[in-house]
Amino acid sequence: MKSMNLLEKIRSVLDHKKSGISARIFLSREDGITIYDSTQNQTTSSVSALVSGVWQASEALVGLTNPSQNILEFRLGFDTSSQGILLLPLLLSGKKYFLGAIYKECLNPGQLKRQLVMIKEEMNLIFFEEPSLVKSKIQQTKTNSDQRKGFLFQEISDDEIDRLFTTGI
Amino acid sequence: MSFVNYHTKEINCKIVYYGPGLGGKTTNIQYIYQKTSSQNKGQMITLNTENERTLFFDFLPLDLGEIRGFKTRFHLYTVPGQVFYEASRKLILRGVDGLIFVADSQVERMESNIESYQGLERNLAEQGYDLARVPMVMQWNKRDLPNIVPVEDLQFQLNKKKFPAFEAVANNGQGVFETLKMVSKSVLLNIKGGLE
Repeated sequence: MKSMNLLEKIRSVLDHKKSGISARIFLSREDGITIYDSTQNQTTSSVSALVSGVWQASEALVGLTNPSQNILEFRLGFDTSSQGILLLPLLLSGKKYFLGAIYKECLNPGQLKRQLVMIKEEMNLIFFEEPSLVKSKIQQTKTNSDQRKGFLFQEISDDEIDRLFTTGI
Repeated sequence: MSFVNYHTKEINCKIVYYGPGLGGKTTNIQYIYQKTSSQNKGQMITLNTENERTLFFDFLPLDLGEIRGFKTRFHLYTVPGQVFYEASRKLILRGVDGLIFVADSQVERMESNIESYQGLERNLAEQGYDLARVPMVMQWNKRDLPNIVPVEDLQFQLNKKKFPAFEAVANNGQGVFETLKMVSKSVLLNIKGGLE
């Protein structure tokens, strides 16, 4: 595990877990970027964007009445007795992420929710000592450039941007 | 904050369309959605009120091509423009990499433009952003309407920081991609590092 980067580690952990859980599981960054989705399809980006929006709105609502709460202890559910969504926040390398499950026709949602909590706790343990990964990469990037220090691209031409857009448009 | 995965060579960026209500923010990304090939776009999400006003946000994920070997993915968001959705606008600005301010060129909407722009400055500052450091492009929309403010006046009143600006008629696509390309370039040039 030591030689893997953070994303690989996250994917490795969740890939290992997904076979034992009868739901779509995903991990999204706070700003709505997908880190992992066990069901990769056209809805992947949308799921993360909505998850981020729903969580942030809920967090803001809680903050209106009780701003001192520790948000990491919260969970967010939207469910019936057999289908729904569960979101759990967690900190990885000092950044907030949302671990989520989307399930349907589930015989024992309680067990599923417990499984998700266990995954969260396991990830907290695995990634507890990984605070330096993000910083080290940024610092490394900053020393690689002579002109515009720290930037990924030194310059981008209008033609390159045009080509970027003509590929998809 | 942009997300760069050096391992898979992917860049993810968040671009937010900001501006007064009924200014054309949703129309911009609807046009982009219509003109993008199906394999390059995800599902467009719109969270609307019954009368099709944006309630929380519109969202369009765009998978574009590669630049210097990095696959680029832009997440386009619009904020709700109506004044009383200020709390939602603040949330959507979190993690923003680039901004497009869509101003309504009509004379009677000038006050709303100014109010919205001031709100943007305030909301960014509250979240620790410096507007001078966030890539931003101004779009003077609805240039096809009769009662419009001259561009010089829009520049004077709304663009004191001299951001790049484009005239647009979003409902027929004029200026839509020009604006997006400009902010995309600025955003890509502004990427510093990322998560490996």
